[in-house]
Amino acid sequence: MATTEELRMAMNDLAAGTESLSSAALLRAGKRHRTRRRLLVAAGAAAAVLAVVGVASLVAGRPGGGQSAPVAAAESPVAPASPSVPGPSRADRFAFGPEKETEPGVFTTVITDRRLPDGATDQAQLDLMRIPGETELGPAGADADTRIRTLTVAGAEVRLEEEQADVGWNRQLEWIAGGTRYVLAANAYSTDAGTPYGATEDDLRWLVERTIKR
Amino acid sequence: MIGRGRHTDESFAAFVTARSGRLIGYAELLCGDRDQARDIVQTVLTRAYPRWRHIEHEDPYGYLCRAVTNAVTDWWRTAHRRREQPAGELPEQAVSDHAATFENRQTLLAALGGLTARERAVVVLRYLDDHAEREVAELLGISVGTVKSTCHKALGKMRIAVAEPAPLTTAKQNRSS
Repeated sequence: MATTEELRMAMNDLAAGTESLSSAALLRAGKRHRTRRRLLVAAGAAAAVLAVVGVASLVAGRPGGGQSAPVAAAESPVAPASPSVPGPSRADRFAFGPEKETEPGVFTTVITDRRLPDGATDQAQLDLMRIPGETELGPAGADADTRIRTLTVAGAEVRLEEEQADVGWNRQLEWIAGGTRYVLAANAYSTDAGTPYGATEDDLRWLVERTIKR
Repeated sequence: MIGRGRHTDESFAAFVTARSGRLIGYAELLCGDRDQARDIVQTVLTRAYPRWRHIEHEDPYGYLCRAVTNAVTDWWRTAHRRREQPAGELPEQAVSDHAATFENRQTLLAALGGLTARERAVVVLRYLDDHAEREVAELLGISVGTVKSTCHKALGKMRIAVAEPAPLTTAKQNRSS
């Protein structure tokens, strides 16, 4: 029978015999990562400015609209709740695949986002998992980068975990309904130019609501 | 500003050279796969670089150990979701036949391969870097009691005798309590 001291030595031997990574390559990768994050922040800010300018222009184009543009902009029904949801309605946009038992007791439905922006190569896909008989949420992510919030959707408490990806956010929503645990996972997608696409938080709320009411 | 940036780069590069091998070894013990361990550590370090100015003044190795632990946990979860069974790649009989001694890397990994993700994390944190039970509990976000019971169970599975003799006074206190 081995002892803890032998275990300690074996582990340390393994760790000691491991080659280091190249610091130069990691520095380059780190700088690229930092640049992408900065670009993303800048692009987000630019998109917000454009959205505000666009709404203001629409309001200014109305008869007499230019005089009270800020007030009109605030009240205007034209202002989109989410700037990234143009085109088809969500019901047309998200296609639910067949539910399959992917492991014992776990049923997964792949949801395909039919909207494919310019420069995107892959259709965004989400996983909706249904685990009957489970009445407690799984363990929450403990990463320092993970943000956790609780939402209320269609009367249900939904835990939202968000993790910053290189471009965009990886999100996972989890809730209990009717003695069943549900997990909806959506990874970040980006175009070749680095523009994020795929389901937004509002889209995910809609998908949760649709699942609960279905 | 430029000077500070250069200092950050030098400090980051020095850390990578000195400690990334240890972090890879740590990740390999947690996940059982050296290539995967290298990928995980590389990703964690890449993501740590933009914040290195803040990290370097605290306990960078501890910070990155936590990040690697979390990244491996995420990897286990994703692998489970995809129905991959990383431990299944290791020879099953190794746990029972060879755990009595750790002659080489393979037997050690095989013995660890018979544990759950949490058991594995507890054992590696306790015996690779000699973290105290309280530190392991903080790192994994679980109670000290759970660390103790998980570690005991894991060592039992690995057929390892606890070789740390308790001092006589402590043993007496334990008996009387």
